[in-house]
Amino acid sequence: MTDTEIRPVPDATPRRALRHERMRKLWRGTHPSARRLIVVGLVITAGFVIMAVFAPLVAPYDQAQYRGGSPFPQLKPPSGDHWFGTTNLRYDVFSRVVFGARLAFQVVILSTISAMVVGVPLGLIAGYTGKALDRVLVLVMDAMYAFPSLLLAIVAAFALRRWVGQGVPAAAISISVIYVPQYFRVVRNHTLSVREETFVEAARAMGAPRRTVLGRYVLFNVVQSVPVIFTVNAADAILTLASLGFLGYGVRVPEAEWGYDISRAISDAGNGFWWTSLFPGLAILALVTGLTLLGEGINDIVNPLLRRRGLRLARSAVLTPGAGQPEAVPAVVPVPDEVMVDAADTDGIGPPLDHGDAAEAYFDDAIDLPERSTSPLRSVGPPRPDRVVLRVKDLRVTYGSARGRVTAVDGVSIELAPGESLGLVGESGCGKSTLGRAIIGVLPEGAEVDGQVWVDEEELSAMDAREQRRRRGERVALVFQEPMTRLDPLQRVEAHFVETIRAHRPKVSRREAKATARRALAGVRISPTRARNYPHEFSGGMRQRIMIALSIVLEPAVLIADEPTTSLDVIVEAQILEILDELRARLEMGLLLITHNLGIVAESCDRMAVMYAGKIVEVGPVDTVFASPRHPYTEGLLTSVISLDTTRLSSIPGTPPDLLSPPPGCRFARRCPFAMEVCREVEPRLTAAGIGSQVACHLHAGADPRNPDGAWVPEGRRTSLDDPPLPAVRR
Amino acid sequence: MARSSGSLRTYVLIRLVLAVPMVLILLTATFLLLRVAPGDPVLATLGGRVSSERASEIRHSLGLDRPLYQQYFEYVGGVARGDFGKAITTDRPIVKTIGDRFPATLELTLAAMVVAVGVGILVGALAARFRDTAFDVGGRLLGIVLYAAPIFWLGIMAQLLFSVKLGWLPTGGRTAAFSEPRSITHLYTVDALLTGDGHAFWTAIRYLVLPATTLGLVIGGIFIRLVRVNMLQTLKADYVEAARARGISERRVLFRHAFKNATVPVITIIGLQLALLLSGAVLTETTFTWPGLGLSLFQFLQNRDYAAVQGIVTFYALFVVVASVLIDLLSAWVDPRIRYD
Repeated sequence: MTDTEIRPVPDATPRRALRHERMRKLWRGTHPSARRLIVVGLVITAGFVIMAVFAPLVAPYDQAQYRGGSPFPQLKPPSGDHWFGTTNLRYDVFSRVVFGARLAFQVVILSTISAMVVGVPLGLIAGYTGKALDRVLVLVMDAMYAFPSLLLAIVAAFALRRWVGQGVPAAAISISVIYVPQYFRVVRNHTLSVREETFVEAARAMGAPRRTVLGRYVLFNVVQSVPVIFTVNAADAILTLASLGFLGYGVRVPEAEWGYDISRAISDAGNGFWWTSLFPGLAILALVTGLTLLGEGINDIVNPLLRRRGLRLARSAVLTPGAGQPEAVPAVVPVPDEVMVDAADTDGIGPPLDHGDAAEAYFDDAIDLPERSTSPLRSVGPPRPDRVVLRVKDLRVTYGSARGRVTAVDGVSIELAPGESLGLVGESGCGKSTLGRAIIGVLPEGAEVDGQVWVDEEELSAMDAREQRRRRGERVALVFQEPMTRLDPLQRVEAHFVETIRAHRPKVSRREAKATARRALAGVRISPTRARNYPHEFSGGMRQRIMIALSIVLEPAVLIADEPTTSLDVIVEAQILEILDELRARLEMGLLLITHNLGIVAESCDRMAVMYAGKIVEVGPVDTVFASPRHPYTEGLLTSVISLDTTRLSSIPGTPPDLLSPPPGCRFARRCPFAMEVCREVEPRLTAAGIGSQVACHLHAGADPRNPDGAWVPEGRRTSLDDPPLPAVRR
Repeated sequence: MARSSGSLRTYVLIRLVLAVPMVLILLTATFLLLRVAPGDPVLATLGGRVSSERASEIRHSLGLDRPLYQQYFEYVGGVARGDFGKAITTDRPIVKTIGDRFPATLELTLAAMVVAVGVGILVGALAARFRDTAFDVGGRLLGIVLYAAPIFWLGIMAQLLFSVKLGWLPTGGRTAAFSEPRSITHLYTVDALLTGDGHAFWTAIRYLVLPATTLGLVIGGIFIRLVRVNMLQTLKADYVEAARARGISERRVLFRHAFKNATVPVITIIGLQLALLLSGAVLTETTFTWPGLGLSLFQFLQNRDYAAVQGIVTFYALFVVVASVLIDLLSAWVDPRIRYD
């Protein structure tokens, strides 16, 4: 729940307007087919309401009356006189269906009221007092809820018959017994959740009695949830009433009640008289369908819980990196000791990571982390530029959104040599993850990709879906950011390996695949004895190592790692990076490391590419770029990193442009301290600048296609990147 | 693995302990509603049909002349010993009625569950797979309409069509005269199979088809919706995307990952629907004169036999609690994560 919803706004008018605006947005956000269903539900329900209210006008005859003294014919099929025919007792079926609607609504409304009268106060008391009373009430209500609802209603009706007889009130009370637990639960949970809310405390501090605030807030919320509960319950109540009637415990004859009428029609049906049972049943079917459609529709619109919950999960995952690990493990609460030790070891204190065997020795080494600058990747030697394992040419990815198409990746080209690691850096939302996913071909629905992707001399972008899938995991693999949810919770770890191996190499036996899995796990320092464990038995860092092992088990030419350590703590991060380096060297694999962490790039990459608003603005060897960034954005990024030998700390003012309608010219111009007129008019192209470097900026010669030989000279306060950077100034 | 089975054992124990207060609450509620509510059960049942001496005799034999708290403890104690009391109208122990009639109910509900799960999973999974297409809308609508259909009405319509008009299937009952198989499990279809009695099997199936399909379709409506929603979620799950990124075939991704994960909650839901299934069975049995416990309950309701209604309802309460425990254990067995919850 967001803050705005919790806080009761004192002035009602703007709040109402706001709510209307929000409803309108939610309505428009639903799928057209869903909207159509809601409208159908509304029309059906409204039709029945009108029929019920004006029953004496709609029905041609009274529910149990003979016309003008002369009895209707018995069991006459539908005709002009009797649209739905007549019954065994000479009633007019149509009139009884109409009056049945009236009775159904009477019972529904009465039962809702009596369920609320009992359920709401009980919920308030339970939620407010808490403790033993609450626990007992919850148990009782749960038991009532678990019991077959129709049987509950029957028992109630059965007991009430002895007491108050049979009729609308008795039927309504019997049915309300089913719904008391639901109102109880809603009210209790609301009460419990706001008891300690700050604004309740605040209101109390301002002198309002706590009970008043609480009561008002809870009632406000209950009133909001009533439409949904009511429509859902109404549908159920009509079915229950009909069932009670069918069993002879509905309302007193000769009042028209659909279920009772159907029970009288069983013998008619056996003799082929279909109309006496068909029409009352159709009425129930139509009304319950209408109410259900309406209820689900309201629920979808008013209560987009799923969407919101998803958002919240995503947010908390971003906000609690590393330290939040144990909480992020689903269902760890009473974890067996052993598993707990694992989690603590890997993610908190440090090694040893695994139990027993060689893996442990591995980890003892890992305690003394090697000097960063001498990490194995540097010892690999220079990449071999003669071969290219990954070539991306003019890649463009667009997403459809409610406001138009967003270009997330806009004409990006990169190349990667075997054994080379390229760091792709940029702010969140610059398109770097989209680029990684586009290369491997897993993008959300609605994304459109344009451009070429070559992996190891094969053009992926020219292949059909089936061929592309065959390369996925085999020639090019992807390690995702969030390891906790990337393994199927129902499959053993080894099953993931077997599946992956056999998807690409069907001839490999299960047994061989399992052996390979164990070797791959040992390669990422996970004890092979744990291959048969389930994902939830591993910590976040271990799961990421499993994901890496899973990605490289088929020795792909290219590995894309999308923020592989973002959700992990620093020590685990170092381990993961080290493993990646090692594998890259051993398998001569091209590594595209997507990150927003420049430290990681400095440590473990040969080259780096800087991305801004869907475009690459600078590429070059890591040392060169760090030593002398050529693009003002790169410089801004580098200076925004705190390091021991820098004394100044600056950040780039402003925010990236809206990708729905990016400005003409350079996308960084609005935030650039050097921005010139040309920057706002002409888009700079990526041109060579120094050995192995390229930059897209008008400060460098060749960026302006109209002026290929010359560079522009800025008139701003800074004219050269060698000048000290400007202090961060907020516009 | 030793570790997993150990925690599974703990889980089983906890689940069993938690079931005890549930049973007590249900027993108390039944007692309060049927015994403590005003009115005299014997008079309500037998009315003016017996002399007042005979009425007080019956009252005494049922223990209704004792103080309420004593009656309560006798009732709970009796249930603990497996004694559900005696019917006023027939003077027969309820346990006997349950023994005679419950196998039929069990056979009907099991067959209905097969229909429900089959229809629900098939339509629900396909609707999710082809989200927002005409198929999806049709599947959702089918789920809602099936749930909205009163079971007894659907049953009557089925009788009209398949029995009266087409003459394919019998209108009611459990099997034809003299076609009962030799009793082993008391489930006619199973017994017929076990004894290799083809004629009895075929006859039992013909009688079972309509009631089981009727009940199964109504419950299946719920499953369609549930499977669809679960499947939509698992189709968006991170591990499904990760499997696709490893080049796993779409079919395998769908069945092995998305579908399997989507069915775990369905097992729990089967447990929750058990209550609905039993309610539905009362209506189905009444419609098809299927000689199960539900039909007995209906007959005792018609005769206003308070003692019998109380006994049968108590049995249903116990059955629901026990079955929900079993279902929970089953899902713990399928999903390794649940054991640690």
